[in-house]
Amino acid sequence: MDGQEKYGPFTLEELKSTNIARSTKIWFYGLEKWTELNEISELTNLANAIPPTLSPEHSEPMTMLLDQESASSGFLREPKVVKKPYAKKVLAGVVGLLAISIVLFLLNKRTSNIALYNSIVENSFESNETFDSYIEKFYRDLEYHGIYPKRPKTSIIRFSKLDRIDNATHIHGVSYGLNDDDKIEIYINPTTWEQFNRAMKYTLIYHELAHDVLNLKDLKVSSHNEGKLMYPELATLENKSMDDFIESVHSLFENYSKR
Amino acid sequence: MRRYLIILFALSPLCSICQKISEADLSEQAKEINRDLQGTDIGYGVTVKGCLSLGRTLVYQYNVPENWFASENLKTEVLANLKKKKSAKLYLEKDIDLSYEYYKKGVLVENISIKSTEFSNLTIELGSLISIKDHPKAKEINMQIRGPKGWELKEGDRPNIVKKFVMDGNSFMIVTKENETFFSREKSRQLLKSEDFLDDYIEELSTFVDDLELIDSSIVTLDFYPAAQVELRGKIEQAGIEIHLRIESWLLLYEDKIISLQGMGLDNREFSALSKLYLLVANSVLFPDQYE
Repeated sequence: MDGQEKYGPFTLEELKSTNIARSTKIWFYGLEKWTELNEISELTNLANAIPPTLSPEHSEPMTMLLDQESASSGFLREPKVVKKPYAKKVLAGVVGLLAISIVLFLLNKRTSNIALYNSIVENSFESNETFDSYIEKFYRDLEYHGIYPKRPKTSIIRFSKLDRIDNATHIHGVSYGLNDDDKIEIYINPTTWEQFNRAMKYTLIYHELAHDVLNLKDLKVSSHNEGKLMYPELATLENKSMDDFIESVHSLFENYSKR
Repeated sequence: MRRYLIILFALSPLCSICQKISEADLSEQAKEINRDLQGTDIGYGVTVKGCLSLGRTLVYQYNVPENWFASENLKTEVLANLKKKKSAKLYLEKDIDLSYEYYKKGVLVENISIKSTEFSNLTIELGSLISIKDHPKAKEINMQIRGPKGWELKEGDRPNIVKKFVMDGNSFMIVTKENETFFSREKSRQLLKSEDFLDDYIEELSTFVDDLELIDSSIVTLDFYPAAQVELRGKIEQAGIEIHLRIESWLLLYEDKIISLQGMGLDNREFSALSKLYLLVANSVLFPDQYE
């Protein structure tokens, strides 16, 4: 905090009650390096509430460590009672800080997701697998059920070495076109693909395409939903046949077309 | 479904060689032969007594000398001789039975009869297993099948014909087509059972075959997949010649494909043997993917 020692971790509420300056250096999960408070866009409101420094000694850099929990869900905890002159402002600031914490949580999550996405893309590669034919069949089957979604010009279905990526080890496939009707973007785990039979391959691709094209979400994990196309645990498909796949597709599309 | 059945049917050009002869025409033929050959000496003192027709049987009568005796294998020798001269094919295709009568001083001493089907070279046996997997016209269908033993395996000459087995004007074809969506086996069975499906199929065939008549139809199972087995007869006209056909076909809705196994032959008594052979071929079908 004084340019030589580190303090914290603090919640934003605690940070507010400390004697920090606009030039205090802060780090929390998601920042690449220690950064001055007035350079952190997420903490602009906090920085603006601090008067500019009058003397050079107060401009010495300070460092504040916001731990991962504080930078995300930690902000949602009950704020501590502050026994400082600033206390009268705390109540009014709680709402603002809560909002900031939510924004930071989302930003942190987004940063994390972006890193994961970048990692998946970097680990993706071209192959001889004809994924386009699955897309053609998917749209053909939608049409058969009277469903005519927008057909994006950009369609990316590639293998990505998900086994080598942290937080993606057990993912069979992932769709990044959810809520984006301008593209289909799906990455498939090649290890999974090699182990799957035809029915499971079809199920995996149709499952991801249903996320991507129809913006459908995974069903809750329960015995009631097992066998349905949007059931997220593909391990339950081990003994599934093409008939099981076909009936799950017809069931989903028939229900979707009734919307 | 109807539009997806279009051009599933394909005629074999090898059927264009036969025109069935009527009994009246056969009678005229017999009279002509009688006029031409009566009294002709064919050697060793044997002369032609006459020729007549009885229904679809052409009867050749001979006068034989006193010292003539029939060999023990007379019928086998006559049959082999006729096959050698290739006239056997004519009798087979025109569905004509033959009878040979031998007279000594006006008394019948020997008689042999040959049914037209005895001229057939058909053997009711299957050949080796072939696979259409990865064939450019198989549309990703992984299917294996045994063709009739001794029949020639040919590439299909149209986009939907993957392979065909051919022999003496008869053919068994493997035809594939994309379907409009996936169908499970249960749904497929329901569709195949529906009258609409059969009506659509026959209506489509009617564009190729005249006087189409449904002889029989049933739902059978080929390697755990339901199939509509349909037996039909009809006629086509080719270069002014009327050809009477019999068709034995099996239609399967396999996942998102339609498979038609189609056996054809001339509408004669040989077809009952052909029908048995085609049934054997259809029952040899395997779909290995289901056993993964």
